[in-house]
Amino acid sequence: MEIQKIVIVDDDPPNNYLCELMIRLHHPGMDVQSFTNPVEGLAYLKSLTLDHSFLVLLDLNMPEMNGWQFLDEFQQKNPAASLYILTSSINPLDEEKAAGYSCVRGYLSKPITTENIQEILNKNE
Amino acid sequence: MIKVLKEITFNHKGSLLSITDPKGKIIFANEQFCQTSQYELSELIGQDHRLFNSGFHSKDFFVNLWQTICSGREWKGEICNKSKDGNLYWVETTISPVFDAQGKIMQFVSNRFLINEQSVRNDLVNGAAFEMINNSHEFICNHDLQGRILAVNSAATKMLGFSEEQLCKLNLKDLVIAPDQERLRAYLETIATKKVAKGMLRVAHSTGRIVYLDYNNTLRDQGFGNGMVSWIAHDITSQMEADEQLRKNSILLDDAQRIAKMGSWELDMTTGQLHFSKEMYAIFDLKPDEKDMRFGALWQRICADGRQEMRRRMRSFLVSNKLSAFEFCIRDQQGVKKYLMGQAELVRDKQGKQIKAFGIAQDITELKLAQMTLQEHKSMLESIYESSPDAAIMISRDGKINGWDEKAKALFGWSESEVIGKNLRFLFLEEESQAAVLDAFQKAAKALSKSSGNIEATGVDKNGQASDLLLSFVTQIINGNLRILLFARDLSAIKKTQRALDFQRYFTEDILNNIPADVAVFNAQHQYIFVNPKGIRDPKLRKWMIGKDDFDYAKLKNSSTEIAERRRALFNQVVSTQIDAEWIDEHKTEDGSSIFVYRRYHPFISPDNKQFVMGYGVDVTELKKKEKELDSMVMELNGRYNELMQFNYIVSHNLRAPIANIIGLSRMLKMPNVTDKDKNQVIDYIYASVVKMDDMVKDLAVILSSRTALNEKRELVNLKELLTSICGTLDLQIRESKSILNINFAEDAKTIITIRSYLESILYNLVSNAIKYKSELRPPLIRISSFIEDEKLVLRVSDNGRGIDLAKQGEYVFGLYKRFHHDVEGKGLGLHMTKSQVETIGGTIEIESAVEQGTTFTIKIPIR
Repeated sequence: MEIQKIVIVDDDPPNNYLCELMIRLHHPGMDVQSFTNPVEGLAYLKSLTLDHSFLVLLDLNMPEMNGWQFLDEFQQKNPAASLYILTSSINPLDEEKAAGYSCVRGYLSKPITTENIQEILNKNE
Repeated sequence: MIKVLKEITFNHKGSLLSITDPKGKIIFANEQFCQTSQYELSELIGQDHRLFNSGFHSKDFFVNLWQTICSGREWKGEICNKSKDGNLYWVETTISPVFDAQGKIMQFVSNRFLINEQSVRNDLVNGAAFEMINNSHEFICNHDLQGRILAVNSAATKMLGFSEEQLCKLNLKDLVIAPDQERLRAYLETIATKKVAKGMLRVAHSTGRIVYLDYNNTLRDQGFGNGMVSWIAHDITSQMEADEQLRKNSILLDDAQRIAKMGSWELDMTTGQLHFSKEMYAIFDLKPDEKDMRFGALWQRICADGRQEMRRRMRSFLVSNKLSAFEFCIRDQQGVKKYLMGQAELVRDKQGKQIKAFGIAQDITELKLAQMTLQEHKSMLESIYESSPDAAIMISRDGKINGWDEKAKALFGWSESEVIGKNLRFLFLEEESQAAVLDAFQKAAKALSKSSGNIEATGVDKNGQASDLLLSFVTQIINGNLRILLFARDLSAIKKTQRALDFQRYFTEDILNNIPADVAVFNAQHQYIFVNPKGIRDPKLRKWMIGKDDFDYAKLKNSSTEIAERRRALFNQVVSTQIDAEWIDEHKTEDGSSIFVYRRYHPFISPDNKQFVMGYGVDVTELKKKEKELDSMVMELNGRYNELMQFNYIVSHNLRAPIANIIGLSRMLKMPNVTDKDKNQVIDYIYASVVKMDDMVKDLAVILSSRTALNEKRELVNLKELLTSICGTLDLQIRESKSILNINFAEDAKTIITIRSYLESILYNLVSNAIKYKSELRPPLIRISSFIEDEKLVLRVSDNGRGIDLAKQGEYVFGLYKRFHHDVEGKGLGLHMTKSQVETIGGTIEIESAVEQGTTFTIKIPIR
């Protein structure tokens, strides 16, 4: 199924802008929503009926709710959804921990690249 | 013994003897036997006694005989035998089993005497020869199975005092006395069924006198008609009366023997029967009804080490006919050793044949034990005397030596022959010594006192060598004679030992008194029996402490018994486990500082098996101080390590985040199709990221520098002045937010000695946070107060801001780069820095907060 919507959850506005811009340039029609507040992001995702046309890009280090807390709740509700971790962490323990979540499809290191975008969109096609 | 019995028996000319193996096969028969039976010895060997069966006796008769002897008992009775030529002859027979040492039947010895009445019996069987019967001295009568008397001989009429006519009208029931009626019935029954019966019945004489009849009767079922019994009996009245008298005497004898613990025995050499008196049973611990009186079994009772001697004595006894008194030991049923004194005699007939042996045995155990105890005492005294270090010299009344023992010889060098008869004076060197010795001797000689008490004198030996002696005179009148003994002991050896001991004592005391440790020794009651000057300095108190315990000490000092209780528990533990215990005591000195003493209890058992515990203590205050320093160093290192981990995290995430942004955004600038508007936005974000990165690098520099500020100067800081300065810096923010500051420093908490720059930074951070995270709904109200509590300055900054959900975020509050509000600018560094600064000045920081109610930070800093 073709990806129709990408939701970005990261408290860092420059990163979110970078992602939006890159997706916009390569996939002009793609619906992109970004949230700097993970609580709001989770609430938004809960309001949707999720299927395989959705993709989530999630940061790990955030105030109020960190990536792990987000994942715990998200996975419980949407075990079938696709999610990519996008983080500046270069700590290998984080990558290991992320692999333990079934909904996590990949682990990307910032900054996001064109290749990353192509790859994740192709994989889900 | 058995061999002896054989000799006696086989040499007995009057009897018919045979010996069979346990199966009844003849292995020996004497001449008489061969003559009477008319067989050659060679014909008899290997045969059994069925060869002589006359057919007169029933099968049961022989079964009974055989059962009796096989069960180890003797059989006695009359047997009708048939000789080789077919003649019948009656023999009075005794068959005795002979046992081996294990008590197993080895042989049967049969002894027979030809019965003179043989012809009488034959005549009776033939129903004739009344003349013979009448001439017999035996009681003979015929009766039927109901007991009716059919015929009597003249001997019977004489025995009973009735006429023949009278008797033939009577039944046996009329004659037998009342107590024997039951036995009569039994007899009539036996004779009817078994056809033979023997026993004794008492009948009444016409005068009322009791007559004892020993009968041996047979039922005849031919001749005179069915059911006729011929009664042949001896009058054994006189024997029975004699026996009764004997029995009475024997009771008296038993009593006498019991009192003397002396038993008697008798051995019938012809029959091998051994008879023991009642006391013998007691001595050998045999049951009164013990039938198993076999020689082999009794022989086993004799103590093994005495059997050889016993055999020797038995052999000589058979030659000399006399066994003079000798001692031997036995063990009773319980294995208890008994000492016996035995004596025996052997009786021979005119021909020199051994007839019987008899003897006595006396239990002398008590006497023997008493003797042994006495001997023990004697040898004990001898050993004491021999092991005494004293030389013993016997002195006559006039002062001359008349006895000289080995030790005296060793001490003075003179032999006995050299000194006997000399005045004891020559044994002493100086006049002074001689005078003292002679004076003591005079007193002893006058028997003024039994012992002179100790005197010291200088003795001189054969080589002229002088030595210090310890002397005492002992006077004793023995058998009316005055005996004076001089005991002398060489003091020089003792003195030498004493000097060595003294030296050792000084040495030990010197060590104990100067050792830089507390040393104490406790008895089993935990009382001090020694304590060294380091343990208790005051000599008076040290002396007082002996025999007392820590509780007494606490009472004296009027202090808590806590230490005493703890030590008592440890003491008990050490005594019960016999394992050392160690602990550290903390003592407060007068100036309030602490002294730490490492103590140890060590249990030990003295050679005389008494429990002691040694306690020692070493001052480890310096060590403890160093340990504490080490502890705080480890704590600090741990802190540093955690920080390093956090720095690692900062580098791996927070610092990398803006860098990653810059890289990603920069790439966008090179991308085609990016509008100018987008490019401008990208450049803005690159700039913001660079600034953020710069801020972080600055913050890190601050944190790192605060870590190196341990040596910064402490000074008196006035809180009010400090706060005024901070408010000046924050003037703009305060005014913009319309913040109200409520300041309340307690009178005794206006100043503190600390690092000014740190306290300033802490206060600045807390106040600026209170403004930054204000509630959207109301202007900030910030309360700043101080007071003293538990020797600590408490500084409190409290606001009415938006607060933090501590239940959710509590553990992250003071973490590096932790932010709790995504919409307010902040890098999450402030609280982390505040905490490390508080800790650097030795304080603690706590937070209380509730969402939309406010946050309170409480800092506590020690005053000293």
